[in-house]
Amino acid sequence: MPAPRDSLTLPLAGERLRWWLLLAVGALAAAGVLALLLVLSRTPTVQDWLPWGSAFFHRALVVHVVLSFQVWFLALFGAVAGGGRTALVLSTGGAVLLILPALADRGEPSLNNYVPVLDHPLFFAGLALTAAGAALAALRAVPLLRSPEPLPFAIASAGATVLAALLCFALAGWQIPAATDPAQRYERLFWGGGHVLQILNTMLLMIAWHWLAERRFGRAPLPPPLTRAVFAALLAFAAAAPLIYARTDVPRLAHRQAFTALLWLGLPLPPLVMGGGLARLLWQRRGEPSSAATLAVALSLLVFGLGGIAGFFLGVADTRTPSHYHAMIGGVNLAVMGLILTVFLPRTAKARLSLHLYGWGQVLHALGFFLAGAAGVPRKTAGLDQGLDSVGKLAAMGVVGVGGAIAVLGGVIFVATVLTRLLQREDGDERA
Amino acid sequence: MSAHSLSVAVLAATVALLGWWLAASPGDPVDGVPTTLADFTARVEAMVAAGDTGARHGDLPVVRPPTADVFILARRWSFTPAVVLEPGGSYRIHLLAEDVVHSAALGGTEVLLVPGLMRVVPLTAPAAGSVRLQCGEYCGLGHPRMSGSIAVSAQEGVQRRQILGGVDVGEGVERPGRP
Ligand SMILES: [Cu+2]
Repeated sequence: MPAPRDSLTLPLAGERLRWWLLLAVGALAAAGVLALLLVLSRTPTVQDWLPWGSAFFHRALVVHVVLSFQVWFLALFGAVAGGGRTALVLSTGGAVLLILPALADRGEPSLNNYVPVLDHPLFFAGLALTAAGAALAALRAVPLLRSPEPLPFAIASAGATVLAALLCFALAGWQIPAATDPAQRYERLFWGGGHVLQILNTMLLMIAWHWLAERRFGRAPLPPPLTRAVFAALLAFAAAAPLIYARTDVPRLAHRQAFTALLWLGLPLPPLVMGGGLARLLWQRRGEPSSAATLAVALSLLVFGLGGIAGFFLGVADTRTPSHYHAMIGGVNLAVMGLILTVFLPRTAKARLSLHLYGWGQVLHALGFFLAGAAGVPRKTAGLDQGLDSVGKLAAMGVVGVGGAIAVLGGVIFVATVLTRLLQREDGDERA
Repeated sequence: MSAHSLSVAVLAATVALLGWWLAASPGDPVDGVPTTLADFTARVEAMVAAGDTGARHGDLPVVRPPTADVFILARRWSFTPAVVLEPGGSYRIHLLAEDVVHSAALGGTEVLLVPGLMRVVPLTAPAAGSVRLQCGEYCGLGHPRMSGSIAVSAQEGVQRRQILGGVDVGEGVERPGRP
């Protein structure tokens, strides 16, 4: 049983933190390369030079999503939880296996929600190793639920949430009838646990807010008992999620709706409370010179808040759904980028530039999607299918494109500068 | 308010929200009416033959259903046929999945479409415009473009027939679900 850690001595091992961050940011880099390749695979002339067949676009898209969401967030969890060497090795091996089938042009792609898949044994082995690595890191963190300190308690809550998500995946796999068509099988296999992982992402956002404020502003956004309460509130919903498997059959509509309702009811309050505390803290510090930490926190609040507002207008199937989702994830990413750039690896080059570009790009992207949704452009389609028959819709989708491009540029700068920094093996980083 | 009482408030709100979530009925008790594909397809074809407007919506015939019973077949990745409804008319939309599980997000409600089980959704057409019909259950790479076409416009010079009369809510008819 590890002793309760003092919040100011986390993370414990600088070297291990470095490797987890390498996995997290390396996954983003690989996701970026795949995004480039999938665009090239649809580019006239260039596509003839690539060694892959016509299904590469969707295969690369699947791996891009899994690396830039699941691997990225689970590796970040491993980093903040101080996951051990075995967990790190499993997670890294998993990430490598996830990439191989697409490069070998193998595996039927399925773009189901949350964890899209390639129907290939290596890909599933990659998912299993990723899950095993996260589970090990989570098991190590969970005993800290008894810690009186807010940050270890928060990290332990995130660990328990990871375990709840994995339990949901297992229960779904056990309950789904064998004869189910692959599309519905994968959709329902990852639906429940995928929702619980959104609770994890929200916890990572709040952990980053808390950590950043404590270290860079000298004060946490909320007093300790309230910090524990908001994490306990999220954890309660994560812990309740597996109950759904006892209440409805996985293939039913009710199963899908129960998880949607879980997030609707469980997700808003805790980040709202901590966001309020953080906004108050920023307001109290308004006279002080702005820093990369202030920038990251302010942009994260703005983008996450935009996503929350969009969430209240969430339609079943127009572009406001990705508007909401992208903005929420963008807000999480900004907070985590801030934590990495100002606490784990302070004095990283171009920190403010990457935060500005990624943050303002996300704002434009989300606003454009929201406008397009209000004008009636269906989501997740491209080209003629969108029915871009009015100037308003075209302009809105143009804003989406420009915002997305600016955000991607910010992301590329972040990944490049952080990877360079991590690979330099320099000493003197302020990691402890 | 002190940090302590705020914490208690957050935890109390969480318990209330969790209770709300647990108390909300899982819903969707209707499985649908067992129906063979051949039988349903025959009904679709009869409706198309009787109400074909001659217009096309993409690859689909555009049909003005002659009765309040409208038959729409869901398959990867379309809803067949496209229909035009009378403004304000009361309809029963019958839906069947041909190949795999789909869903119909129809207006403000959604039903899951399992092959072999027909779902019937009551629908009152709006005064103008169209009614959203979209698959809400991931069913393959073409899923995002799987939407149907339900337009609303008055047919000139024709009696509005029985459509405007009340609809008997018979066996297998869904109660409108929560949005
Ligand atoms: Cu479908």
